[in-house]
Amino acid sequence: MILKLEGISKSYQDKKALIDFTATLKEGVYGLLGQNGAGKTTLINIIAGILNANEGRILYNGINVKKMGVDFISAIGYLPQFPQFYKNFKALEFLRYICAIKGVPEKVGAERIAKLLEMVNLSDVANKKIGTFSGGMRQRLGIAQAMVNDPGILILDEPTAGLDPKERIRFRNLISKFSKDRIVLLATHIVSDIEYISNEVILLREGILIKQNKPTVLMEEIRHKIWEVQVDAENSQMYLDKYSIGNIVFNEGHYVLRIISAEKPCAAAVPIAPNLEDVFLYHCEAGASR
Amino acid sequence: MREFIFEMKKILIFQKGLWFIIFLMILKMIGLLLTDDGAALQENKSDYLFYLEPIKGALTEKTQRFLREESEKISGAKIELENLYLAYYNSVLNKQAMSKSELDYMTQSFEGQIEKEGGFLILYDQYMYIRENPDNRYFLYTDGWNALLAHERLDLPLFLLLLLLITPIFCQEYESKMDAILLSSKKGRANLVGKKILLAFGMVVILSLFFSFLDYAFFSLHYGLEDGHYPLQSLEYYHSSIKNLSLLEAYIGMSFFRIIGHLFLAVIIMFASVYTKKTVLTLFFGSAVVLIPYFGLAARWVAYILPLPLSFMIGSGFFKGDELAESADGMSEIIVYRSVSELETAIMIALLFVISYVIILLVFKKYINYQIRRRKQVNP
Amino acid sequence: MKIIGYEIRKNYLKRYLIVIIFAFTLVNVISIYGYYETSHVFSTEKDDSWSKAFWDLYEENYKGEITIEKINRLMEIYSPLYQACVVERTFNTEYDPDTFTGYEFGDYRMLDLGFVRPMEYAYTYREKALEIANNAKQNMIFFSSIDNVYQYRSSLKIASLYEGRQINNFYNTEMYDNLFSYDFSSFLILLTVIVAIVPVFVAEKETEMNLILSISKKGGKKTVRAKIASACFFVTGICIWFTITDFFAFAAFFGLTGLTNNLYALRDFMLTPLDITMWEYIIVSAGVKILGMQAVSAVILFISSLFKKALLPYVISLGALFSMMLADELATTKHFNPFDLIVNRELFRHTNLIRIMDFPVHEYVGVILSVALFFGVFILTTIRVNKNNAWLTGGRR
Repeated sequence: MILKLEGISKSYQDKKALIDFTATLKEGVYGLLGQNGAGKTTLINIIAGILNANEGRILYNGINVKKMGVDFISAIGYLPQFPQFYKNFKALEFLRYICAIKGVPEKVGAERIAKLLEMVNLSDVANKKIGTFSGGMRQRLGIAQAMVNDPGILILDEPTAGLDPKERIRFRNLISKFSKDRIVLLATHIVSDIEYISNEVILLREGILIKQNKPTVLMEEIRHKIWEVQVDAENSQMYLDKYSIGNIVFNEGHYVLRIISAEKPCAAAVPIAPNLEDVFLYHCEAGASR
Repeated sequence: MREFIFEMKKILIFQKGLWFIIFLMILKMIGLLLTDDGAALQENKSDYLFYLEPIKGALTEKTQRFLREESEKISGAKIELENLYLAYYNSVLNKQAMSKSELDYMTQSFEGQIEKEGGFLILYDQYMYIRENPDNRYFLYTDGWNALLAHERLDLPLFLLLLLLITPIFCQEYESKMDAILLSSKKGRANLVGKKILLAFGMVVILSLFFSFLDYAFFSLHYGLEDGHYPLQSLEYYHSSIKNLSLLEAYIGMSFFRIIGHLFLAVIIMFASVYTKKTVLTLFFGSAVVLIPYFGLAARWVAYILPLPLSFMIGSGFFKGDELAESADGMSEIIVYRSVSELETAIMIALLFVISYVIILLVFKKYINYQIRRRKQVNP
Repeated sequence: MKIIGYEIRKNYLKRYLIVIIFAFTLVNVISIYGYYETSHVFSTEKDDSWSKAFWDLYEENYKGEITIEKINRLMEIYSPLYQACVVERTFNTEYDPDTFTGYEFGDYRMLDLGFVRPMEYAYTYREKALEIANNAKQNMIFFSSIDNVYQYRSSLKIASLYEGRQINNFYNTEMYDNLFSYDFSSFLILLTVIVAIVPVFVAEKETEMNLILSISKKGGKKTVRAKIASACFFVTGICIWFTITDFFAFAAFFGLTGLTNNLYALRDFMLTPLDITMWEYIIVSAGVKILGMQAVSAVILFISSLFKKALLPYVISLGALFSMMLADELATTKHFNPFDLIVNRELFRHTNLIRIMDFPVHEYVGVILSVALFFGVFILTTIRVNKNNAWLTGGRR
């Protein structure tokens, strides 16, 4: 299963939202990282066919998706950013409806719905109206609806936004479960979501693909660029102004700063192990100022 | 004051209220041009005005004499003309000297007189109406005043405009989920609700007055609205009215009633919006409460004794007199329109104020989720 | 078909909509009662001697086939009353127990309004229809002689329509006179249609379900078509419901009688182009009204598909409705205005012919076709403006 994106570009009037985006995606979870407005939703919408690209083409298993038409759409499962669904529908009824519009045969659909409801832990509330669901329940229903057609490509746009930590972990585990034998594209700016489950990270900045690699590789790339510095209140402002700061902790009258910098910021700075958040800051924030 | 300006900006600028106002004003003008039915006298207007000018006002001996004389002049002219034509054709037959130009010269003044007959007949009809009750029926040019006052039409553009402007005041907050943020702000609770309601009222008063003024300005330019101090009963539409008012006073009264009606409608819309929290349902409620009695009441006068905004939004019915018709069996009279007395009007206004007051309290209570019981427990 | 079912479930099986329909049904029945109270001539409650006398005479003596014997019997009691009340004006206004209604003048009015005038109309209708047919035949000869094919065909159509028309039965027509001029239920339907249809597209955008729909196999144009079809079902259903309510309410208040009488037995429909009975006309009129309602709902659907929030589509739909009403009042042509099908009695009251390629066609056919076209245009535009998924522009659909 290969999804190839070749030279995708998209502009809105004067603004270039996506510039010559080229990537190859195979089975696994791909974390799509980028600041707000970096082009994540544009890319997702183009893959899903909601938007037309100005240039470029997409190949699915070597076939141009334009030629595949409905077959390609049938291979996608999509969970948009803030879905409300139909509040007056019951969960089960809603999934049956999604099966109907996705053209999933009734019998197959019924089996899949039962399995999915079980997986997302909504079997008990299958006959409750969606209007009564909490945010987490609604998101779990959201991923279930995206999965009813057993898609080869699962696209999730900010799926954990607004969820409590317990629900987030639950949701992450669900994504891991669903990622077997399919491409999962997970757009988020909650880096920890990706850190644990993604096989590869796609970093976008101002519409340009700046990195695509395994998280460990990306982290390795910035080893020796992450420093911990202990400073007093007076000097802290100087560091805040000068460097990209990953974290600040106030500890016994001192500030402990996590600094992202190619050079050692001061003699007392201690190199520490990078995480994916540092990668994001290094490329997107520090990179932007470079 | 700052919040007040923000609220105003929200409605007029961000929610495009100003554009709606401009657009519906234009629509109103187009509507006035299309639906204007006061043109009864336009055909013979100049001749009619020629006769009307000297006798404007109350019916007097002098007026009656004038009408009699003019009537005689017209019938005299007819006879004279007939005689002249007879004489002409006789002269032609008898080959005596009476040329066509001579005839034309002699008939000119009579024909001029007869041409004005159409205008005179309109005035004569008016005279027949006035003489039934000369105390409160005056001679005046009625086209403009009829178009302005003599109908029970709803101002639809203003009605639509109010739906557009008042509905989002609360619904927009619910739909953009701003209500929670506002409710957790110092001035976002009762204070803000009060300001929203005041702003809605301010807009309604200004727009209602402005649309009433538009009516006046349009008909004033189109037909002319002179002699506003003449009694209301001078218009046949108000023939049985027992209100002792001039035309201008009736117009001012009607504009006042319309403000009340539109204010009440605004209160109902706001009530619907905080209770349903949905734009569609609020719009539906606001439109149904006005349009159902407007189209559905077989006896329109009933609307004037129901505590609904419609009667006040129309206004004219408060000034009309009784209208009776013979019953089917011919043995009694049935009420086609029952006039609304001053006492009934005052009661209705008072009732509307009480209902509005209660509704506004409910709006406050619902919006800020004010629970009386809980508060009592806090203050033992 | 399954998607249509879901669309119905989604958009129309809402609690508030069911409450509205129930409340409007109640309002409608109350309004019909108000209408009955202000416009009836003979009360079916028979709570006054005048109405009781009429209904007793009607049921026992005059209802049904018009015979010479019945006419003679009627004239026997009517003539002396006419003489006293109209010619000599010596009628008595005192209570008289020997009269039907309690008063001499009451008897005269009751017989005059309830029996003599309608029977006279029914009895003389044949003659009037024949006169129209004969005039048309003469016109046929004339137009044939001057080779005016269209006028010849028109006259032929009129002659064949009116020839042989007659009213053999006498029935009280109050119910039909009032039912066929009652429009308020149509207004209630329109308000319901607006509140039900405005959210059809808007709600998808408000809930962001449009995104999920747009990447689903049948979520594009197929769903749009399902939305249109479900709106059609809803509109048809609600129209039928109100037609039934109207019929039963009018029958209950005014009295149900003469369902099989000819439509032209109503004075208002003297020149109707339809050779059908009352019950057939009720169905025809409802059918035509449904088409008009479909056209209005197509406009509302189109407006709904253009906006993301409900405020503007609702107000614009209401405005569009008022514009159609205004156009119905002011415009000289009835074509292309769905409102002329909703309030359709004017279409069927007179025989008007229009010229289509040298053939005379009844005006109502032209109006129905033009509104059907209007409906089609809005439906197609709605389908067009709702974009399909980008990947569906090529490849297998």
